[in-house]
Amino acid sequence: MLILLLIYLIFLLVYVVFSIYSILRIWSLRLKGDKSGVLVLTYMITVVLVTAISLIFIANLSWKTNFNFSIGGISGR
Amino acid sequence: MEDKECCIPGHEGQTTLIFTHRHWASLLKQIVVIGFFLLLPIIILVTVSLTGKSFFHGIVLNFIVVAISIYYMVMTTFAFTEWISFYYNILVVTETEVIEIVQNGIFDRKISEISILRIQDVSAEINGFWPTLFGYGDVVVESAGDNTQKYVIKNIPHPNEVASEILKFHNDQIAREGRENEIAVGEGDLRKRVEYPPQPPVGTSNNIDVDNNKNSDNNNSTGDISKDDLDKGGEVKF
Repeated sequence: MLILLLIYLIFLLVYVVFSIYSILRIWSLRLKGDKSGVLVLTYMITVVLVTAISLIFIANLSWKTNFNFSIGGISGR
Repeated sequence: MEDKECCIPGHEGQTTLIFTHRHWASLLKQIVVIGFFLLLPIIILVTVSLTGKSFFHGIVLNFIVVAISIYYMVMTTFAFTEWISFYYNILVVTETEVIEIVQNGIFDRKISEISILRIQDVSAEINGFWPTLFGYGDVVVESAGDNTQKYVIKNIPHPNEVASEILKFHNDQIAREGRENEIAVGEGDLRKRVEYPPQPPVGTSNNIDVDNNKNSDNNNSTGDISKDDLDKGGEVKF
């Protein structure tokens, strides 16, 4: 199960880098007096909230179980 | 529609006559789709919970938590991208140019500029139920010249007013520069005066006297043109 956690953390890292790059790009597109600042702030708060809630849930789960690939699907041990 | 200094990079000194984003109603479809997909996992989880069977334990729960987390992150970015595409689709009309900015997502941006003097035709189109209800539509700007180009500015609020304003600015600009006659000639409304060289008087050797060619005319009753007639290069009577 740790491999799933590792994949998730790698995704999270890529996602955060992509989000920062997107925000910087939007910042370069800004026009005088537009509302991009509010939007970017809203986006950042949403991303932080989703990430924080996800991490709280993930932290409370057990990640020490192993994959058991057998006929009939995946089962936890 | 505002009248202030242009905020587009490269046009800072110009006065903005029209500045408009897309109409908010053009974003309704995306809002409904995103709202549905945001609610979808909740609906599925509640429905599965109501069946009474406990699926959410052990490894399945871990998978579900990770999947939902990734799902919501992707959906947040998708919503953000849609909003950027909506908000940065802009039409700006300055004293001298019509500027259209088309933003598709974060990485795709196109800026088209057309001189207000080069505009030949401006039309407004309102097609469909929602555009008619909310009063938005497309403005089509057509450029003059051999390489006629059409600029379709989509989902603009009050397209009829915008189109007529652009045409008014076009006419004002032409009047300001005193180019009415030149534009009328260019558009074919007024024929350009052409100076022809003076014609020699009638009866000189340069004129072809068709009546003197009776012999050849008689031979051409069938409509054939003889080689002699062709060599003369003048009119041939059939």
